[in-house]
Amino acid sequence: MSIYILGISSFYHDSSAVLLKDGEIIAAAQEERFSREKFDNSFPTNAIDYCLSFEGISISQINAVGFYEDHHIKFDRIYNTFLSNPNNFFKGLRRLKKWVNTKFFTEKLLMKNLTGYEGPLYFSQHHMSHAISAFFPSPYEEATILVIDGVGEWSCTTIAHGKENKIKLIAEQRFPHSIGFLYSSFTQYLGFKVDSGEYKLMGLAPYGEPKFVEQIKSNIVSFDSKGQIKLSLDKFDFLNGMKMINQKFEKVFGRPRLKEGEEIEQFHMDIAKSIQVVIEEIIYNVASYAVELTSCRNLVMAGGVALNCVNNGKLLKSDLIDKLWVQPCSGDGGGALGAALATYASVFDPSRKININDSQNGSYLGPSFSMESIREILDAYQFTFVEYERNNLATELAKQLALGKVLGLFQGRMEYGPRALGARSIIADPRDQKMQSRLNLKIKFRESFRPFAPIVLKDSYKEWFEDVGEGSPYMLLTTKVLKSKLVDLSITAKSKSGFDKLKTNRSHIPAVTHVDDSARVQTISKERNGFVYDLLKSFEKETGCPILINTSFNIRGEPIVCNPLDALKCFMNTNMDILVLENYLLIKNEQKGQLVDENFKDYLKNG
Amino acid sequence: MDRESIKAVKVYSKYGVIIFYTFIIFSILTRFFTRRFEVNHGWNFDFSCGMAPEKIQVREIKSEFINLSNIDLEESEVKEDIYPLS
Repeated sequence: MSIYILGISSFYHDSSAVLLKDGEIIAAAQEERFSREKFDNSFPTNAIDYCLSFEGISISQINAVGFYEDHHIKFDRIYNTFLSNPNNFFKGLRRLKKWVNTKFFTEKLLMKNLTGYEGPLYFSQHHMSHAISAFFPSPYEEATILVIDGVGEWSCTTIAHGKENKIKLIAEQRFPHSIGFLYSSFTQYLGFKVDSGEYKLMGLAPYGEPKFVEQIKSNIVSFDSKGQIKLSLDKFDFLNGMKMINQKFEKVFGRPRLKEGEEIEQFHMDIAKSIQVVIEEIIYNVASYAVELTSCRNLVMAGGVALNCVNNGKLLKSDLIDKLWVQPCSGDGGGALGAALATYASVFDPSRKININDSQNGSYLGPSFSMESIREILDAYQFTFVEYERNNLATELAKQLALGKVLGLFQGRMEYGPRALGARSIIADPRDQKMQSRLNLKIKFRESFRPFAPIVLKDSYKEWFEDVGEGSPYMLLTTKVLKSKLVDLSITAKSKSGFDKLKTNRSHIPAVTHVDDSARVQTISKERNGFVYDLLKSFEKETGCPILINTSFNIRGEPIVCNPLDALKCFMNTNMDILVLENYLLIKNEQKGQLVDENFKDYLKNG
Repeated sequence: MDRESIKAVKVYSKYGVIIFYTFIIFSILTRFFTRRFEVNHGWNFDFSCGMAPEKIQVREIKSEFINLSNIDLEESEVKEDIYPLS
């Protein structure tokens, strides 16, 4: 009889659920995809329902439930932080009491929501969950493990060593000296939302110059060659729980923080670049110390900061490590996976099966939908569509993409993690320079400066991009476009600054070449994603280019689409041209305005 | 695991809110006079101040605070973000 373990992360942000069967990851999803509330932190009822229905079992058949962190240890940090900051006594006390009355009883909250489950509840620790989620699914027998995020219970940065089926935590840096909070503080300073705008900060950095590095090092954070950081706490406000930074922080740079809607200037780009440089230096030092402690040059990473793909790319190219594997669901959503694996390894079976391609299954662990169920929806809303043979569909789509059409691609199991990897993706031609701003402004409705990522055939990526070792199947590494694929820029083009750099045709694939000639590559293999592989092959046959743009199938502020109805709504309310739902192809011009939301009509008119 | 924080909740559970607040005020005063609120930085080798195990290990938490178990846990309260201390 099989052993089923349910892993849960919730009540902070990005709730999720994972189901293991005899230690193997068989289903995983984030709650936001079902509730349609981005970074939903509520109990992941829908994600759990999906996991159970995937295997056709009921909650009573689950052998154990693992939760991703230990709320009692976390309370210790909250309590001690409150005691150490008595200047906001009454406000702090109210918050403390609220925490005691709710989250301190996480076991009660869990049992209240797990109706029908009578088995044991196990609690891992936040950074142990991240560490095990990074090491156990990785293809390595031995690895140095780095976990870097805002904060778990007490840990902000953790070094661990994984060997075969064992993990040993070696060292931690504690709250409040957090690399994650440092980066989030700058996210807030530049007017982006903490916990979600960090990608924007990373995307903004290449437009700037690192002019403020020394100012940051002497006023905001100091660190040494072991990556031991010390934040200048008088510049931060998060100890009082109100916001990340205070006026002293702003005075360091002589300007107040950018507010939503205010224009981004060169100054802000320079700040973004400067903090990116500082973060890279700190993480390099941390990784260097970690490798020194473990004597192992395979590195695995998890925690929100591990999603900084620019840093990951630089680490891989450095002399520090030989190999790098980053957990695709690195944020707190991935904690559910770690909790499930920790419970299985600790309580049931400590053995670990190593898969040479990793055990994450391409992170295609979410729900898929049958042709019948899709057909029902299409008929119900009277959509016009054509059903294709799978083989012909890729050829037809490649032709349309070469003509400049933008495709919504919905096929197979949904991705687990923040990246769309070809199952819920918007796909377009990267050779068109205007495609970047078209996608940003007319389809994603987001800031024009944000870059798009390329998907490329694994077999031929080295003909276009600098080497990233064994490939980048999870789009978590940034590398450079090869010089041979770049265009010689004129003096005028080279002298452009800020967002004007966007208007330069800098390579043969300008829509996926960022202003510093970098690209966040995803390599595609036939084994992992057969249909996208065929699509790229067909596109290469059609155009000579084995690369396409791949961006998440959503619009700004919304989670990635989960089911066919979400996809249809997104398709009909943006300027996408074509939608593929498994083998059904829909052309926008042939539809009658079904599911169009009044709020989006203006956008569509301007398309 | 029996740190001051856990003691505070045990006090809350056993003696109620007033004694809980008194305990906290006493803790703050103790900290003030012993100057124990220096936050250390750098690498530590005792995880979560010695409360977390160094190896893969999960914990089964029993209901330790019976008097608090009748608190009605409203979902709206849990969803409220008290970032970043939560």
